[in-house]
Amino acid sequence: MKCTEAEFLIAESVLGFISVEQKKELEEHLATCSQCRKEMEWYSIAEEVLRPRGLEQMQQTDLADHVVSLAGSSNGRRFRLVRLAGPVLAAAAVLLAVILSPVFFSNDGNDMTRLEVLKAYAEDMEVLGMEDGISVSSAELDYENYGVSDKVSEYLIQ
Amino acid sequence: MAGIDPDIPVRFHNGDLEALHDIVEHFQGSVFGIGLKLLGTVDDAKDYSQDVFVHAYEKRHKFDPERPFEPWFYKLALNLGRQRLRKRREIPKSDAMPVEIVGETAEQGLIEKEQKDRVQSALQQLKPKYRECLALRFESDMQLHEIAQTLGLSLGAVKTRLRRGLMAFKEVYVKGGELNEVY
Repeated sequence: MKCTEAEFLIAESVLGFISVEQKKELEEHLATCSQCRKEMEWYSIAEEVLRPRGLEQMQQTDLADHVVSLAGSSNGRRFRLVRLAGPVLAAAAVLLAVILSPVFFSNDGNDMTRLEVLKAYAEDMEVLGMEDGISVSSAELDYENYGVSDKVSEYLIQ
Repeated sequence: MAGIDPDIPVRFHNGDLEALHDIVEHFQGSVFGIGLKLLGTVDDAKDYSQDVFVHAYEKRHKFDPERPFEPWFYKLALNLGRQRLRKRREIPKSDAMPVEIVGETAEQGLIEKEQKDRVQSALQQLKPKYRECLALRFESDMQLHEIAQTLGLSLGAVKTRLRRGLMAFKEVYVKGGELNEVY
């Protein structure tokens, strides 16, 4: 078994998805591979710290009473709001259309498209010699530069 | 945690506030845990917990009492979490990790706080679809098929997300501790 296959099985094993046969295969590999034994240890730590522990200490003792009081009071208020919402929204839409109509029908010379604006910015940056700076700074923020392997970076916020 | 009394969701559907009270008491731990895993701070998780229960009560007519309560409830909770993440534009606050420690010695408290901060920080690096899958797996009482139902995914897709989420979390938590200082 290759170590990449073993890591797949280690993750499955820690999550409890592994079959008896797969478990046996994995154990045979672990017996001969210290790197994968280390991986197994790290996965076990990761699984352990994700378990809920001590969260009950942080619960709000009065949350249930508070929620019931909010839910009870919102019933009547919501009914009144729903009755008023239609006419108020219609009036607001008419008012907004009247106020915004000059914006849609005027052209004060601002007729650059979004693409043209972006191109103009790009040209400005080229003139200012900032292109290299941009690529360097984004490279510095790659996960790989901080010890996180390439194989999981697609699962992380970029 | 034992399952909820089957009578409670039916009474909840009919607007019974006592049933809502029972639901809050039963699910507040898991909802808080999901909030903490998704949003990363105790304050946000508390605020989120309250909103989930009030929102569930407002939407109770959409719950079909003939069907299991948990998948409906957790789906609603996740949708609310996604809304909050969208509002935040998926950028966790830089001071987003304080986790309160109650009733421990100062030294133990500091060690545990540091560990919990690292866990939250690592979770916040994961894409939300992996984060919410891990949150459901570790915080709710649901079986995998119920998680799949809640997320509208196949069983295989849930397993894949859990495996990828755990792989990514392990990498960031174990190996990438220094990332926290960058963001």
